[in-house]
Amino acid sequence: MPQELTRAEILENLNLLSEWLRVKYPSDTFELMVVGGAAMTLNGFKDQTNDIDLLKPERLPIPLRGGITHISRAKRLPPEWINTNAANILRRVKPLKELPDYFNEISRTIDISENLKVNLIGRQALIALKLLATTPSYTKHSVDIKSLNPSKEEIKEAVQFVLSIDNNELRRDDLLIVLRYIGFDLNELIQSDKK
Amino acid sequence: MNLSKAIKNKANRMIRRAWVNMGIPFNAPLVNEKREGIIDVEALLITTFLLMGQDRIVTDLPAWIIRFKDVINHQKLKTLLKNSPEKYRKAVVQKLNQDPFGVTPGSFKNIFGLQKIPTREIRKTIEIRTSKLNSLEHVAQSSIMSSNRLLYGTGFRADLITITQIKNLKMNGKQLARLLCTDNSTISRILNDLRACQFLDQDNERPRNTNLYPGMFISSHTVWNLYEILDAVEFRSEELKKATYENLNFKYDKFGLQLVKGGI
Repeated sequence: MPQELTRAEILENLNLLSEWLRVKYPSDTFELMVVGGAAMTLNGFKDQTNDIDLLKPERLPIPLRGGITHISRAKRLPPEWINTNAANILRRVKPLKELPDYFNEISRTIDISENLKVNLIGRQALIALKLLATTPSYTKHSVDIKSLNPSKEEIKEAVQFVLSIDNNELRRDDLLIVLRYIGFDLNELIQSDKK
Repeated sequence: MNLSKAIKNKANRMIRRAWVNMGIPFNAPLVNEKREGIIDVEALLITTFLLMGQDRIVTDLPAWIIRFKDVINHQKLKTLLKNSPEKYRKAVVQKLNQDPFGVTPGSFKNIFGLQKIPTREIRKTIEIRTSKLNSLEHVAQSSIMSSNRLLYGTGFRADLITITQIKNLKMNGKQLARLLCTDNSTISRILNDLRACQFLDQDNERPRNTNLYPGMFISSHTVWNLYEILDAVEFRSEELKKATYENLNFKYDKFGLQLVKGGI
C-alpha cells in the first residue's frame, strides 16, 4: 500500500524538490499543473492522497525526473510520487490541445519557491477527470467527486467530457451507477441536455 | 565552491600528490598507484580546475599542459566537460579564463573556448615553470595511464588497456565506456581487437596479468561524485544531504572516499 501524503507532507516534499532543483539547475524555473487527489488535498477537499498527478508538463523533463528520484530516496517515497499518469491517459484518448477550455483553468497557484510554481487545476476539469477515472467497482474517485459537492451543471459538463471520449453502452451503464451514487441521474442529465 | 576550507585543503593536498606523479614538483608524496589506485589524467585535470585557488597551480598547470599535451586525451577531456552539469561547466571555464591559460595549445583552449592572449610576461613565467617540471621518463614511471599512452598512443585503446590492469575489474563494455567517457561502440571495437589478439580473455580479463592495481584513485566517477558533494554542501535540508552521500559510489574513486571520510 503506497504511503498516503497529507497536505503538509505534499508541501514539504515539494519544498525539498524545489531546493534540489535550485541547487542543481540554478537558472531554471519549473511549473507544474497538479490534478487528481493531490489537487483536492492541496485545496482542502481531501485529507490525503497517494501521489501527485500532473497534467503539465506532459512529459517530465530531465531535471524534474532527477529531482523526483532524489526526493523519493531521501523521503522513502515510491519512485512515482510525482507522475504524469493522468497526462499519459489523457494523451492516449484525447490530445491535450483538444481538451475543453476549462482544462486550462487554474483554481489556485502555490509558489513553492522562486523556482517552482504549482498550479492546481480548475474545479470543472478536476470533476471531469475524476468522473473519467471512476468505475462502479472502484469508488475512490466517486467519493472524491462527492466531497467536491458538484452542481448539476458541473456534472453535466463532466458527463459530456467523458462521453466525448467513450460513449459505448458499457461506459453509460457505469456512469449511470456512479452518478446515482453521487446523487445524479444520467438519463435526466442527457435529456435536459437534449432539450 | 562552497566547500569548507578544511575540505578544500584536504582535496588540494590529494590533488597535489597526484600532480607529483604527473611531474609537477609539489612538496607532497606521490600517489602510490599500486596501493591507492590509478590516476586518470583528464579526471585529474577537471577536478583540479574545479577546486584550484589562486596559487602556484595556476601557472604550473598551463606549463604542464604545454609540455605534456601529447599525453592528454583531448576527446575524453571534451566529453568530461560536456557531460558536466551546466553550472560546473561554467565554473570550470571561468576558472580557466585567466591569463596563464592563454598560453596553452589551441587544441586545449578550443575545448574550453578560451580566448585570452597571454602577455610576454606571462609567457616568460610559464616558460620558467615548464623548466621545473619533471621528465617524461618520471611521469611514465609514476603514472600507469601516461605510461600506456606512451606505449600504445594517446587514446581510448591505451586507457582501456590501463583499466584492464585493475584487480577484479568485472566491468561490462557499457560500464567501461562510462568510466572512460567514450561511446559504447568505441569500447566494443577495442575489446573485440584485444580479445582477437588474446590480450584479453572472453571475460575481458588479462589472463597473464601480474601487474595489478587496486582500482582508481581519480576517475570520471571522482568528477561526478565531486559535483554531487559540492551540491550536497549547498543543500539546506539534512535529508537531501544525507540522501546524496548515501547515493555516492566510491568503487572507482578513492579520492572522493578519502574526501568524505570523517565528514564534510
